[in-house]
This record gives sequence, C-alpha cells and structure tokens, in this order.
Amino acid sequence: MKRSAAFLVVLLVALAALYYTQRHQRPIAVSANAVIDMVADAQRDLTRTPMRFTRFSDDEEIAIGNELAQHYAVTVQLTAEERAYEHYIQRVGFALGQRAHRRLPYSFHLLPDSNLMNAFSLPGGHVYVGEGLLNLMTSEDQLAFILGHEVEHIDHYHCVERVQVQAHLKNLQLEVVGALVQIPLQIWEAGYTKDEELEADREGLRLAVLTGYSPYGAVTLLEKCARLHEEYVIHAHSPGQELSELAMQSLEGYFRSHPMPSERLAQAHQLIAQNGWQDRTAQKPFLVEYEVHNGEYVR
Amino acid sequence: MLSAPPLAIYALWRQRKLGQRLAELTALAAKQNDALHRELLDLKRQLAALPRVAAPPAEPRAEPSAEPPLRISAIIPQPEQPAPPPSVVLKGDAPTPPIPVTPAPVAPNTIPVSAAPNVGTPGEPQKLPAAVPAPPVEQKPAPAQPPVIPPRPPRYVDVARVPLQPPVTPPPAAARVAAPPQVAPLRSATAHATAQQRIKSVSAIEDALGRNWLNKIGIVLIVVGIAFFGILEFRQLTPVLKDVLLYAVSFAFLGGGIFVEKRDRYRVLGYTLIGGGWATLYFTTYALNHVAAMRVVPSEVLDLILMLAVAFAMVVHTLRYRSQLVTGLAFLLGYFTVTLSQDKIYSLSAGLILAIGLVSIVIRMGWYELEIFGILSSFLNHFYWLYRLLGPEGAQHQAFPDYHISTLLLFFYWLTYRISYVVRKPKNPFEEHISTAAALLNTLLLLGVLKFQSVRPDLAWIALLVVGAMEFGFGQLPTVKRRREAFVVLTVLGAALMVAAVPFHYSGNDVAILWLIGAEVFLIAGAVASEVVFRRLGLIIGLLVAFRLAGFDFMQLMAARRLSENLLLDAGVMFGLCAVVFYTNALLIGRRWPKFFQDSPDALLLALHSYIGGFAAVCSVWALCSNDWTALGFAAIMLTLAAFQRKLRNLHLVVEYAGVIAPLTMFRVFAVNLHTEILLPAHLSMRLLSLPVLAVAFYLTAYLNDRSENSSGDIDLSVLRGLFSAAGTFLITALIYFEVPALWQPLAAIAFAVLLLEAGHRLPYRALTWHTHSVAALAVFFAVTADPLAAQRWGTIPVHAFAALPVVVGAYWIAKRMRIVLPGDADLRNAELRNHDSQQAQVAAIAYTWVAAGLVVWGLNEALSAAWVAVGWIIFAVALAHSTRWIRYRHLAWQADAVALLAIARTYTYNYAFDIDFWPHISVRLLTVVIVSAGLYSISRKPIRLNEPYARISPFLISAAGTALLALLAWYESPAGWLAAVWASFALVLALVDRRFKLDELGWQAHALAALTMLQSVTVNLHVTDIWHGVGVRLLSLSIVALIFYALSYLARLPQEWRQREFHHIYSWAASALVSLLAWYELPALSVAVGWAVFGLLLFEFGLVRRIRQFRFQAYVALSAAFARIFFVNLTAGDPGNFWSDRTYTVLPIALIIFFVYSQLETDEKSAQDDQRLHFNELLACLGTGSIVALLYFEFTHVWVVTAWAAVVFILLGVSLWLERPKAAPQMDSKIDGAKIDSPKMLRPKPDRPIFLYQALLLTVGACARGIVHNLFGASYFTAGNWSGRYAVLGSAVAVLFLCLPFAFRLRDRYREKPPGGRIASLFGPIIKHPEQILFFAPVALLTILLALQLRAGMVTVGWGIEGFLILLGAFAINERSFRLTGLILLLACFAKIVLIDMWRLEARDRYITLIMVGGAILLASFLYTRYSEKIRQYL
Repeated sequence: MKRSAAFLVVLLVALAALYYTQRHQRPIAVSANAVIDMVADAQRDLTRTPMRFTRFSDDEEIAIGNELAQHYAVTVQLTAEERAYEHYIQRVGFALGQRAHRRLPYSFHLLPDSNLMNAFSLPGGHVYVGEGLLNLMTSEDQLAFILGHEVEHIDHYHCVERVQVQAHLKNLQLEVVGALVQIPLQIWEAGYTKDEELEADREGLRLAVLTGYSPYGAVTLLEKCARLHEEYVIHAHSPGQELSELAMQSLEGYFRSHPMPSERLAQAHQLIAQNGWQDRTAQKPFLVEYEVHNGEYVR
Repeated sequence: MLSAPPLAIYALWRQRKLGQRLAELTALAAKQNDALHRELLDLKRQLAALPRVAAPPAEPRAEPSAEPPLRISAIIPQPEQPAPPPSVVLKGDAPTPPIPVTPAPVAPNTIPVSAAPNVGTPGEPQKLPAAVPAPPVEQKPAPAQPPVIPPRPPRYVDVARVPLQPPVTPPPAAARVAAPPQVAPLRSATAHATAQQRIKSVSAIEDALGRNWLNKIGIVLIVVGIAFFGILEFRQLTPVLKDVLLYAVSFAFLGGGIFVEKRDRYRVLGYTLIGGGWATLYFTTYALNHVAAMRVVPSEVLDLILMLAVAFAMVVHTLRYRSQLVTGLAFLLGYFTVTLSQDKIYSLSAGLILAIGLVSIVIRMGWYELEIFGILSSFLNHFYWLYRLLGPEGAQHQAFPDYHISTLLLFFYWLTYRISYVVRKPKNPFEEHISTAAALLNTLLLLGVLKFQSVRPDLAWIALLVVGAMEFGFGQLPTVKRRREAFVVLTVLGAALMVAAVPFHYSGNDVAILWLIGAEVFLIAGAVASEVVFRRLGLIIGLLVAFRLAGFDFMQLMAARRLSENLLLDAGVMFGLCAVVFYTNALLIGRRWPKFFQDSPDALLLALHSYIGGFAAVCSVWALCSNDWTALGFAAIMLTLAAFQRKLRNLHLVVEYAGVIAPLTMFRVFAVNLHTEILLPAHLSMRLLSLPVLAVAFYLTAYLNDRSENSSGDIDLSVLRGLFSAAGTFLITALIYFEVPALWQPLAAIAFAVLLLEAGHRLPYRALTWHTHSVAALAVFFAVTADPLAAQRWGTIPVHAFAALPVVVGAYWIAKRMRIVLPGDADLRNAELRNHDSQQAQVAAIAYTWVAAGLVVWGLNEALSAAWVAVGWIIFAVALAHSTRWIRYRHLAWQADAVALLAIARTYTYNYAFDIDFWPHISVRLLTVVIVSAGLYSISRKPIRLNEPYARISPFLISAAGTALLALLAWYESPAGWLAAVWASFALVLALVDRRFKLDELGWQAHALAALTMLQSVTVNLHVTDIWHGVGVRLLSLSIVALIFYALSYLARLPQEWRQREFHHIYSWAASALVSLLAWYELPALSVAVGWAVFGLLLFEFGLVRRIRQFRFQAYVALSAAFARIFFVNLTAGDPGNFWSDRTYTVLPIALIIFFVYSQLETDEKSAQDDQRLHFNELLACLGTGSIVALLYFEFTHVWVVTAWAAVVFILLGVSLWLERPKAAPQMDSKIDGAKIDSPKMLRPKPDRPIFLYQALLLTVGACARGIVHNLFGASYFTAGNWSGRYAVLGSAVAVLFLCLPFAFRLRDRYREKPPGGRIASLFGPIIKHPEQILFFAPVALLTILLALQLRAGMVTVGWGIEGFLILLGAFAINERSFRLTGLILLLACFAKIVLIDMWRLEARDRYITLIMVGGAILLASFLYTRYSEKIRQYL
C-alpha cells in the first residue's frame, strides 16, 4: 500500500512537471553547452595548472602577438570613414588599456567587413573589431564595453594561454620563426570558455566604468545579443540531426563554452547592483567625427 | 649553506645506525626480560625451599661468582628511579659510590660492561658483575625493582664495542660513545603478523625521527637562522647589542642543554642544545671580527686567539660527553655558520682550526665517520669561498690574487686527511669501509675544487700525474699494504689518475698506443707477480683503448670513408696492430695463464678483448678495401673466423662472425653490391661476379657450421646454418630480380624454386624446402605484378595473364612432388618429427593448390570484362564443385565455395550498377544477378557430401545469399514508401510459416527482414510527415511496427536455449526504442527527459508486477537516457539567478523517479535479484546522486561548487550512516520489551548501502581536486579577492569536510567489523574500511596548497610549519597515527624546502624568520614526541 502510494506520488509529480512544461513551452535550445561547459571547465582547470608554471614572459607574448598580427594586416586601403572608425576605437581603447593590470602595448584595429559581427584579441595587446559589430552599436559605452572585454582577455592571460595550449597540442616550437602559422586564426575569433568569457565581461565592464563609461552600455548591447541569439537558435528535426548538431557543437566548442547571453546579462545587472552603478545611466553617443579633404582623411 | 647536504646525509646515515641500534637494544631487552623471569622463578623456588634449608641464606650463593656483595646494597636505595635503557652500562665518572652496575636480573652474559677512563686497572672491571648469579634469598624485593640509575648522567657505551664475556680491560679513550638513549620497552618480543611488523617498523622510524632527529633538525635550523640574523644589519641593533644577544642565546642553549641533559627522557634534547650552543658561541666569536654587522674586535689576531680558545673549550667540553652527536653538531654547525659569513681568505683560518681539531678528535676517538663530514665541510667551505669570489663559472683560466694560497690550503687539507688515512688502524671492516669513503672523497673533492679554480689547464696533467703517483706510492707503503682495502683503493686511485693524465697532454694515435702499452705492462706484471689488482687494471685499461678506438679513431675512419673510398693505410695498419694485440691477449695470454682468467670478471674482460680484436679487424678491412671488395673482405674474415672457430671451439668467435660480421657483410651487400640504383637488367659485371661469390661464401660458411654442430655438443649451430644458407639463396634470388626481364621473372623464379626443392631432396636438407616456399611465393608475386599496366596484349587479353600460367603449372608440380625431407641421420629422428614433417608437406601441398586456384581467378579477372567477371567466377565455381564429385578431392569443394563467395561479393559491389539494357526490358543487372543467383542455387541444391557438418551449413548459407541478392534486387525495383510495412508483414508471414512448418531457413530470414524493417522505420518512416485521416502517418505506421514487434517477441520461433536466454525480447527492446523515439518527436525538448523517465517508471512497474526483467532493464535504459539528456537540455534551461526554474523542476522529478526505482529494488528483493546481481541498484544510485551533483554544479557559481559538493559529501555520509543495518535482531528486542511486531518488514534488517559511502569518498576526491585546480590554480590572476574568494570558499569546504570526520570514524568502526562486499569493496578495501583517511587527507591537501598559493612566498614555509605542528598536536590529542605521520611529514617537507629552496631564494629577513620559526616548530614537535613517546611505543 505504501509502495503504491509512493508510486502514485512520484508519478503525479513527474506528470505535473510534464504538464507544466507542456503548458509553458519555452524556446529551449538543445545544445551541448552543459557538457561543453563542464568539459571546458575541467580542461581549463587541468591546463591552467601547468600553464602557471610555463608562463611566457610579457616580451615573449608581445613577440608572438606581433607575429600573429601580421596575418590580420589589412591589405586593402581603408576608406576615410573606416580610418575614422579605427581612430575612434583606438581613442576609446587606449583610454581603457591604461587601466589594465598589465603594462602591454595595446593596439586596436578595425576589420573592414560589415558582415563580421565579432571582436577578438591576440596575445600581446592586439584587439580587432569587426565593422559589422560596430554597426550594431548605438553608444560609445557599448564600444567601451566590447573593447574592455577584449582587453581583459589579454590582461588575464586568456590569449596567451591559448597559444600555450595550441603549442602543446601541435607540438610547436615557438622560438622557430613561422611556427605560429600552424595555429589557425579562427581560434582567436571563436571565443573562450564560459568562465573566461564571464571574467572578461566582468572585468571589462569594471574597466569601462573606471574609464568613465556607463555600465548600461553593456546592458543594452547584451540585450541586443540575446535577441539575436534567440533568432539564431536552430531546432533539430530528428534525434539524429540533434545528435549530429550536438557532436558538431561539442567539437567546435572544445575551446569555448560561451555563456548564454542571458547569463551575461544577469551578471552585468548583478555587478551594477553590487557596485551601486545604478545612477550611471547616461551614455555617450556613438559619434565618429572626421574631416576629409581631397578624399583624404585629415582628422 | 653548502654543508647542509652533508648534514642531511650524515643525519640519514646516523638514523640508520640508530635504527639498527634500536633493534639490537630491543632484542637485548627481550633477553634481559627473559633472564629477569628466570631469575624471578629461581628466587621463588629458593623462597619455597628456604624453610627447609638450615644453612644461612648467603651460604648457598657463596660459590665462585663475580658479583660482589655490595651490589645488593646498590640496588636497594634506588627503587623509585625510572627504568634506564637496559642496553647500556651506567658508569659515573664521579669518584663517589655507588659503583655503576647493571640491573640485577640481567643475565650474566648479556651485561655490557664498560669502564670509564677513571677505571685505571684491568682488574677493576672484574669486580663488576660480569656474571650475575641468582641473588640472595633475603633480597626478595630486588628483582621486582627497576634497574639501578646512578645519580650522574650515564655514559652510554656501545654494546658492540664492549667485550661481554669474559670482561676484559675496558677500551681506552677511543671507546665508542653511543647515541642518545633509546629507551627500549621492557617487553618480550612476540610474534606479530606482517602488517603489524610493518606498523612496528614505521613506528620505530617515526619514534626515531620524532625523538632523535627532529630536535637536531630544529636546532640546525635555529642556529643557521641565528647566524643569518647576525649577519643581517639592523638599524635598531648595534653590533654590541647583537653580540650580547647572540652570546646570551649561546649560553642559554648551553645552560639549558646541560640542565635538560641530566633528565633521562630529555637527554637527546639536551645534547642537541649543547651542540647548538657551542656552534652559536663559536660563530659569535668568529663574528666579532669577520662579520661586519657584529664587528667589535678590530684585531684579527685577537679574534683568532679567541676562536682557538673557544675551539679548545669546545673540544674539551664536548669530549666529556663522549658523544658524536654533541661533537658533530658543534663542529659541523660551526663550519656551517662560518661559511655563511666568510669574506676573505684569512677567514678560512676558522675552518683550518676546525679541521685540525676535528682530525685530532677523529684519530683520538676513532670516529672515522665524522671525518667524512669534516672533509666535506673543509672542501665545500673552500669551494663556497671560491664560488663567491669567482662566480658560477669558476676561474676560467684567469689568474686571481689568492690563487697560490688557495692551492696550498687545498693541498694542506688533502695531505692532512690523507695522512690521517694512512696512519690509522681500523679495527673492523666497517671502519675500513668508512675510511675508504673518506679517502675517495678527499681526492675527488681536491680535484673538483682545483678544477674550479684552474688557471693553467695545460699543467693539469702534471697535477694528475703527481697526485696519482703520490697516491700510488702511498698505496705501496708497508703500513698500507697490511690493509688490503687501503692498498687497493690507493693503487687503483693512483693508476686511474695517471691514466687520466695522458689525454691531457697527448693526442692522436699516441693516446691509444700509450694506453695500450700501459695495459700490457699492467697485464703482464699482474700475471707475473700474481697480483689480481694489476691484472684487472691492465684489462680495464685495454677496454679504455677500445673506447678510444671506437669513440675517436673509428669516427675518423668514418669521416674519411664519407669523403672517399681511397686506401687508408695508416688507419688500416693501426687497427690491424690492435687486432693482433687484442687477439694475442685473448687467445695466447689467456691460454698461457688459464688459472688467472677462469672466473668472472677476468674471463669476461678477456672475452671483451676478443671482441675488441674483431672490431679492430673489421675496421682494418674497411680501411684497406673499397667498393664491392669490402663485402668480399668481410666475407673472407667471416670464413676465416668460422675456420678458427672449428679449430678452437670458441663461442665468442661464433658471436663475432655470425652476430656481427655476417650482418655487416649483408649490410654492405645491400648498400653497395646490389647496386639498387640500377634496377633494369643491366648485366653489371661486379654484380654478376660478387653476388655468386658471396652466395658461395655463405653456403660454405653454412657447411662449416654444419660440421661444427656435431663436434661440440654444447653449441647448436643449426640455426646459424639455416641463416647462412638463406643468405645464399637470397643472393641468388636478388640476382634473378635484378638481372631477369619482368615477364620472364615468374618462370625463372618458379624454376629456381623447383630446383631448390629437388636439391633439398637430394642433399637432403630440410631448410631448402622452406627456401622453395619463399621463392615460389616470390614467383607468384612476380606473376601478379609483372606489366601492371597491361601494355603488352595478345588480342584483348593481357600477356601477363599468360605469364602466370607457368606458375600455375609449377605450383601444381610442387604440390604433387612435396614430400618428407630427412637428413642422413634420419634414423635417429623420432616418429613425432616425421609426423610433423609429413603434416607440413600436406599443408604445403594444399596451399599450392589454393595458390593455383587463386591465380586462375586472378587470370579470369584480368581477361574478362567487368560485368561478366562474376559470371565467369560462378561458372568456375560450378566446375570446381562438379569436378569434386569426380576426383573426390575435398579441397576443391572448399575452393568452389570460396570462388562462389567472390562471385557474390563481385555481384553486390559491381553488378547492381549496370542499369543498362542487354535486351529490351532486360538489363545487364537483372540478367547477371539472376545468373549468379541461379549458380548459387545450383551449388546449394547439389551439396557436397564429403563432410557432413559442412554439407548442412553450405546450402543454408548459399540459399540465404541468393535470397539476399533477390531481396536487394527488389529494393532497387520497389518504391520506398511502404517498404518497411511490406518487409514487416513479410517477416511476420515468414515467422508464422516457420512456426507452422518448422523451416529454419525461413525463420532466420524473417529475423533478417525484421531487422531491415527496423532500419527502414528509423531511417525513413520517422521523417514521414503525411496525414492520413487526421492521424500522422509516422505515429500510425510506427505504432503498427511497434505492435508487430511486440507480437513477434511472443511468436518468433527460436531454439529453446535462445528463448531461455530471452533473445526474443530483442523485439520488445526494438518496440520500446520506437516508442522512445516517438516521445522525442511528439514532446517539446524540455519535456523529453521527463517523458523518458515516466516511460521508464511505467516499464519498471510493469516488469516488476509481471516479473519480466527485460522490461525492467528497458526501464533502466530509459532512466539512463533521461539522465543523459538533462545534460543537453535541462541543466542549461534555467534563468540566471532564479533558483526555481525550468532546470530545477525538470531535473528534480527525474532524480525523484530514479531514487524511487532504486528504493523499490532495495525493498522488493525477491523479484529484483537479477537487477541487484547486475548492480542496477548501484547504477541508479549513481544516476540519482549524479543528477543532484550536476544540478548543484549549474545552480551555484563555479567558485562555490566545491563547497556545495562538500555539503553533498556530508549528506551522503549521513545517509550512509542512517541506512545502517541493525546489529541486533528486532524480534528478540520486541519480545523482551513486550511490544508487538506490526509488520514483517520490521523483522527484515535494513539493507546496508555502502554505495553512498563510495560516492561520498569519490566526491570528496572530486571536491578536493576541483578546489585545487579550479579555485586555486584556475582562479583569476588579479581579481576574486583572497578572503572573499578563496579563503572563504575553500575554508568553508575544508571545514565541511573536517565536519564529516565524526561520520567517517563511525563508518570505520562499522566496516572494520564487517567490511562491505562487492567488487568495489574488494578493489578499494583499505580505503573503504578507513574513510576517515580520505576525509582527512583531502582537506589537508587542499589547505596545504591553499597556503602555498595564497601566502606570501617568504611565509609559505612558516605557514606549513605551523600547520604541521597543529596537525601533530591534534593527532596526539585523538591518537590517530596516520594524522600524526602527516604532521611529521609536513614538518620534514618544510625542512627539505628550506634546504632546497628557501635558503637560496628568500630575502634575508624572510629567511631567518623562516629558519627560526620552523626550527622552533620542529623543536616543539620533538618535545611532543618525547613527551608522548608512549603513544608511539604502543606499536613497538
């Protein structure tokens, strides 16, 4: 009797959960994020320990970053507007870089591709922003948040640790000229683990606020990203497709387990509440001012 | 600082000696105890006999005895003294009585007696109780009293050095002073188990470490820390104040040590304090002038006088204790502290004073061990001075001002210690060994330091020659020759130095020649003078010549050969000369004086000379011959050595020509003589000449090995003969390969194979048969690889198809001629070998027929067009099958089936693609597949009756293949929509027909069709989205298929055994899988896991009620799938910051279902025995806990996961403890209490669930690992503050884990009585029986690493030291041995870290603070060990 009652209770609880989820259907994405998060977390933890003992010096990191940056050198001539954009992000970026923990020669570059809605950084201080991402922005504070985020990836050794991992995986001898060619450039654009992304968000936001920007720039930008993410979610039509997508996500996500935009947004709100930044709501407009004379950018 | 390693080595060596002493004393105590009991029994007997004895009580004991009457009176006043170590003789140096005596009950022959220096006459010791008879009767209480303790501190005399029986004159002043008292327990030695012995051994080490070594380590650290403190300049402390402070500390140590040393328990501590006090005093005196921060005496002379005075006082005072501990500590710490602060070469005078004082003590007291540390300290002290002066690279041939004084000092040290070595007279082998170590160390350190300060390297050979000659000369002194070991050491040392001097001055061939001369001189001198040392020196120097030849001259030869193939006459002659000399040594001298070279290592060394001769001979030939002739030269050496071997019966020669020269020859053939750079048949003259000649040489060598086989019974060279003949065959084969055109190579190779076969029959030689097989295989290879592009054709048929025909003919010929080949002594062969050879011949014949058939198949494949190859093959198969019926050769039947299989494969892979018309409406695919199927049916309908089992299987397989081909053909022709349904229905019909008519083939084909149906359903029907009358086609069709499958699970006819094994439930598994897939398609993503869990719950209930375990197993799979799915949907579904979210209310019900099913398995034991046997209950427990742990991982921030997991550990341990099995039967208790039993369940004991304990232990390790790698190593570099981030989180985790210890101790008590069963328990038994160990070590490890990473670098060791001391304190409080050992190891690790790291890297202030603090902690730990030594000795 007791057993039957217990069975009924358990069954009812499960059916209630089933009914509730059926009634409140939400667009839940099936993803390998949980597994990737755990695996990446474990992988990061396991690699972080030896990395602490085999850390590159700042000079070595700068040299490696400079060599990698040669692959991103823009071969086409920037237009006057694009040069103005680049000067703009350099002005904002330098202000942020001066408040970073490590004294590195930060440099900020524009990638003139309107389809590239991404930003990334290289070891040693190189930060790249895609023109597509700039087109999304509506305030300078959003740009400051993005640049601070990338600066903190460098500042907290995320970039150089990726070089260390790649060097170990590919058995590279970094002192050999040209060895870095074997590191695919896509891994810099792919992002980092969840912890590292959240850390870069947290510290980047702190950096932006210290430089005088509003934290709500980050909030508005992350809200926009959350909306884009919901639109981007693809639902599988079969278990096989789901499994293959999960497998692909697992393989792609070996180095990254991006936090959900909602998590990043929640963290931003939490930071604002913790530090009492609620009154810093005023955002600076995204305003690029420049002059062109005879088709040449002059200011 | 440089003396720290010697101190550590000395400490280890001393610990080992003390351990041995402890064991000896324990054994002695046991003997004494036995003697005590015997004496007690004697006394009782005497007491019992006393009323009957009229004589005075002393009279019966008045027989001759060494015991004086006064001895009794000496015992009586000391009843309350603590027990002294029974292994020592207490001898007061005060003139007042009582005379030191041994304990009364000690057996006579075990009493160690020693007379101190004040015992002047030899007769006095005879007054001592060397033999103790039974005490007088009136002294009844005496045996029960503890041994006598004199009022003065006793002198501890080495038992081993004191003659026991009879007592003799006590040794002079050089009597060995023992280590501090090892208070051995007065317990009899009883037999223990092995584990107990191990515990006893570890406890003895721990006891020795804790009471004897920690105080030494502590005092060393404190003294060194004080020295650093003295050297460091402070503004607040003037030199005067600092001197006064250090003198106060010195006298405090001295006074404290002298005071404490009088108490027996703390004597070791007192000795260490005295030693440390003298060292501090000496350093302070030295610092009065030489240390800037403490300089108050400006005169070096005055300070030298003061140092001499302190050194003299140190010698005098420390010798009073006759303890190496006191003296060693004082002197070595004195060296150490002086080393820390020396500034110029005159400051080395302090070390000079110490060296002289130390040598005088060593010679006087015979403490040769101490001299080793003196040597180390002297030279390393000097080296450290040079290091500071010259830097890490040394002098680098640049002169420096104090070079000559430094050199003189070094030679002074060397000569002082060498004279000490020469004049000493060791009394036993151990002392001689110690002296040898000191002698070697002396010379090596001298040379090392001289090298470091080298200014004129061109004169190094003179120094080596002079030192070597002096060592050699010392070795020949008569006083040394009486000590064999010293003679050997000095002679070898001198010879080694003189030999080493040669390459410093000479070069080129001179070195090898000089060494060769030296080797011959030593060898001949050793043979003539019968001195083994000289002989072996000669042989070893010969080896040195070999190294020279191999490492230098051979390299030059290689370099020259890389450049050209010209004649190298000088090298050839030199190598030839060496070959002659070494072969002379090996073959002539060894035979002239055979008695010297019979045993190892002389025989081995002489054999090595033979190999060196062979090496030199090969090098000589290489230098003198070139191109193709080199291999011929090697072959000539090989033949010559083979001939010599036949004459001399020397196994080493066999190794040389067979193991080295023959492979070398073959290598040379490969590299040069084959001329592989010219592959075409070019008819090269040297290749045509050299290959046959070399083949002949190898065949002749094979012949010589054949003759040797029977002459020397201990050497079986038949294998070598085979290898040499194989080499000859290989060379002829290579000639065919290189010189015969490709299309003719099959013919030539098969002809050579036939020739080898016939030759093997004629000789007779069995190995040639194997050569035949190899060459025949090569012929086949040639046939199938000749003209691969089919460039040459005859009509449309490639010519190479005809080239294979001679091979087919040859193969059939060899198959027919294959028979047994036996040599001439075949009569001696036994029948077994004959049968073996016969079987081999049969197998070979069969293989050749298969090869012939294979070549025919290959030929058909080459000759026919692609679509008709399968047809050709099936016709050939039919022909083979029918011919088998005529000639009754069953292997043709097998070959027919093999060819049929090839035809099937060919049809499947090729013919379905030929969708072209052969005739209108008849495609090539249809025609060829039908023909092949007809052929298959033809074979299946004419089964071969040669082999019954095969005859049953063959038609079954072949008809199944035909059916499969036709089914596949239907798949090509039918639409895909209803194929699954048709196949399912067809399978059901086949199953029904099979069930009705018992046709096995149809039943299996039904199963196959069902499998295809399942495949079709999964791959096609799941994706159908059509609607039929408002119902989805997918839902309808898959429901039908699932129902049919459930029906088939009951209807399908299977063998009874298979049905018993529940193979029919494959269908129910498939049906359940389809239902699960339907759930995935019909439910939203978030609900799928819950749906699967509910489905699993229902399956489980159905299986439990109907007692069908396969349904329960399916339920477990469904629950496992639900568990897995939460990782891909549910765990990431929650909103950040919202605790009750989609994640929570979907994961928790799943965990609830899993735990409910787990609980049902545990309660309903009868119907779930299989489940428990397969450990599904444990799986479910793991899944439930895993889901909770994973939920916590995502609910909390990453930083706090470690604490959450620690809390789960606490809960799991509590659950495990709560689910304890009752120990007493409740029925009995109920009766006693008069209460009624309501339910039978009350009578049933609760199940014990160690799985939760396993999970707790595993999670403990996981939490600890995560804390280390994530919270410590993986934390942010700049943020996440220590207190809020790491100390708080990890501190809470550590606290929670420590809180688990009470649970762990209770679980240990439970499982100690009755350990849990199962594989896990058997694998990890010790861990499970002692859960408190993991729950202690995990947080301790976490805490230790936390301190290492979070404390300032200079304070890490201090933190660890405090942690270790606190652990030790707690361990003593709860009396847990492993915890105590942990604290001890941590303290020792602190010491090691200080020695290896902190001493060299820390800042000055941190360094002295670390040294003093850790030293203090270690001293306190030693005090704890001394104070609570009984807790350790309970294991002894």
